[in-house]
Amino acid sequence: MSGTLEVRVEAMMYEDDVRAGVRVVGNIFPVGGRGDTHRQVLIPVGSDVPAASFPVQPGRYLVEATLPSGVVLCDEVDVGEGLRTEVRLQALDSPHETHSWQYVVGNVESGTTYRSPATIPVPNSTGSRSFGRLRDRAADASLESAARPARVRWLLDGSPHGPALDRLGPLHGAEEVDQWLGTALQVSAQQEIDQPSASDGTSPLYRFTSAVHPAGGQFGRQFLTVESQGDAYLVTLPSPWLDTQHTESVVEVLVNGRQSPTGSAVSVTVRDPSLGAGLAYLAGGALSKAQAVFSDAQRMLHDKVTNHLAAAAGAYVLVGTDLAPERREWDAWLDNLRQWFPQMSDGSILCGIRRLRLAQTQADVDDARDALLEGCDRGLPAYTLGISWLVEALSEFPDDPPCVARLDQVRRLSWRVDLREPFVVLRLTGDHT
Amino acid sequence: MADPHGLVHLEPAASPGTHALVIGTGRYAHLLGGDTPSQRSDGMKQLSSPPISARAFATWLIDEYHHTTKPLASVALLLSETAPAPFDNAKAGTSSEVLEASIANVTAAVTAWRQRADSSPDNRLVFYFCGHGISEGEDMSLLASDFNPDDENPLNQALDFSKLRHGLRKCAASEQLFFIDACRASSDVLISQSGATFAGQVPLLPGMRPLDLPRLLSVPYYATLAGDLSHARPGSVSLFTQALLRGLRGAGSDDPEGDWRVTTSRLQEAIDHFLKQPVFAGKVAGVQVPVVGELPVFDVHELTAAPIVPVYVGCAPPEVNATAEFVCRQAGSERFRRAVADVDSDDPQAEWAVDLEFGEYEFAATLAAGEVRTKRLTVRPSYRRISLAAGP
Repeated sequence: MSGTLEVRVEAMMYEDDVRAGVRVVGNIFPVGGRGDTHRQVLIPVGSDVPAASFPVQPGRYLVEATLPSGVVLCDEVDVGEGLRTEVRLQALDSPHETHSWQYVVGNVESGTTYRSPATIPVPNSTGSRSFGRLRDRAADASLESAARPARVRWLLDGSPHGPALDRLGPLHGAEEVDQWLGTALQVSAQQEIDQPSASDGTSPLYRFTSAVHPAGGQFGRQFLTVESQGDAYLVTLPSPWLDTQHTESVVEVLVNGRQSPTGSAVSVTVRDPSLGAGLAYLAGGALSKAQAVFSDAQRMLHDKVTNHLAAAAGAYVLVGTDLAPERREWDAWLDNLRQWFPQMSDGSILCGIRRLRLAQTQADVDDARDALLEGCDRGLPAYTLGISWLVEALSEFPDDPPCVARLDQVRRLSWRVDLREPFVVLRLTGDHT
Repeated sequence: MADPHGLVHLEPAASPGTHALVIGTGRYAHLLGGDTPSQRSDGMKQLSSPPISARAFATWLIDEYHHTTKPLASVALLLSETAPAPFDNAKAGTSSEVLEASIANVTAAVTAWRQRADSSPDNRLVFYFCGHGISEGEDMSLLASDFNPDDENPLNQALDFSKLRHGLRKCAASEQLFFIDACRASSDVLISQSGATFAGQVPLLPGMRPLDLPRLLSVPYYATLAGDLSHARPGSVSLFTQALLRGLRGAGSDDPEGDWRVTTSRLQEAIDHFLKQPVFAGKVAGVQVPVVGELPVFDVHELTAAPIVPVYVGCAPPEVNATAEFVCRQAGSERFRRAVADVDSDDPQAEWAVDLEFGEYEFAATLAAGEVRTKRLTVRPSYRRISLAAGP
């Protein structure tokens, strides 16, 4: 006869859309070598979520859950024969209840750190662009903008493909940014988001759904511009995002005014109970954990019509974790993602990477090359991983002039991209050429 | 005289095997405090920990690294230090002069290392660098000891790390690990301002992996601590390297098949964990350690003894830590003790951090008023945090 472990992580998530919580990856180990082991299991996180049940032989167990932030929660319990033992791990140290989701996925520090008066070390190089933000504002009037609250605008129209990967010229100030938006994105209308959904004066949170802010077409790319701390950003908005129950998830954008100069100024996450944590694991390169969350990645890729962005995320997980040398059933769906959603270059990039890894002939290599170039020509990917993978893959063609030219463009683009974020956040301002 | 390619350890019979190149650059002649400092050092100065850190990693490789199918085959070590000293290889019983980490020596060592690793697709490459570095987006330059800001092209004395990884794609070795502890105290616009096409020397041209070689599994680990406070403890092993070594010694291990192994993914978790602990990383605690791109999972190291696990012991509320005496016992015998006199005066409420072998322990806290709190539990990777609360 066995017992049962009932495991959950408590977090301050009380809003209606997150009542189902979010799933993170954990492990269950027997103490003393006797008992059942459960690795890479999914554990619910929330305020009052149903626990996940795991049958185990009676004995003592160590239960751990790894949040996407990297924090590992653990506890040790005894399980009696035929009994249910509850394990409640705690992730309650969010700086604010409203920021709990951001805390769990690692976009904001724990409350203890957030409220600490300790200063954050900064690079001591006068040439560092990070250091530049902390220069004496009295010495440079343009930096007065750093003292203003964040400004967020939703781009209501514009190219459905997003900006091309051409070289970004140096943009200084809001006027030049707006000019660039008009030419590079054909944007003519922007909606100012006057009030954040929640704010403590330092790190405002903005929440988006199509009910609040109508999407500009079902499959077109959505973007925000965010001005904060003297910089302007083009922010990928993965909206509308339908979860596995075909319910629209809230897209949450955190403008982190307290973040250290080496932290993320703008973070985007999706409050999808099934996949939200998986996106954060994906951003951190922890693809094996993302795979556990995207346990049904194949079905997501197959079901791309409902949510092509989620399908692309699932595809990154599949392509990144599959080590087999032969094609899989889902390779055909990868081709469909590329063909059916041309406004999202990720499909082409994924096909190119996949073909390159499985290549056995020159024809395979040529197909890969063509897919990668197509990905470049389709504009900014939705996922940051697409940029990293483009650099990796294009560098395999050093004697191919079009690939060399595109590689140069993507490298320069990467200088402006926050590589820690799952969705592309592009810094528009600055002197990078 | 130093080996022209920096070799300090060689086991010719190990094939397939693991071939390591370890570089620690702390003395920079043309930076602040150097023999001929440039006026444009841009805040970059001498570093004490990189050569110490590199020595520690090289010593770990020789003395402790263990992999059944890819045993250690070679270690090349290049250093730049204020007081050059030989490298003592206890396992081989040798004492070797160490090659200077100038750009010429680094590029020669890279080429030779690549050739050694090219003998079999079952080989493994390990690259370790500790010193000044510059990164912008996907570009990264590692600065050699003769880096000179006054040069017409300062990055002539740097190694283009991104292109190094791309060039190693053509090397037969199908598992490649990179540990980059590059202090970001430098100007991070130097790459874009240097013409944007040049980020350092490229000893191995990028290209395509030959179609007849197995798929490449390449994993880079980066320390992204800001400023030279990433080496906050002068004269000591750097924080990132300490985290790396503690991860390799047990915090990054798991036993899915009964024996303890450090995997790429668990190692990342362990490094991330250490760099988030204030008691370990001090003021720089909380900065992430991203692994760029992806993280294929494979075994890095097989432990030959029980894993060493970091344990943090404290009381609830934490104010009590300042006057508590902590004891750790195993099978009734005292293993470690933290007396009240040993409390950190800079942070009296800090938890007691202790490294323990995997196993079962009893922890006790004796408070000022005589109250004793105890808890028994198992210590296993990646770490344990124990909070001793008052009884009901």
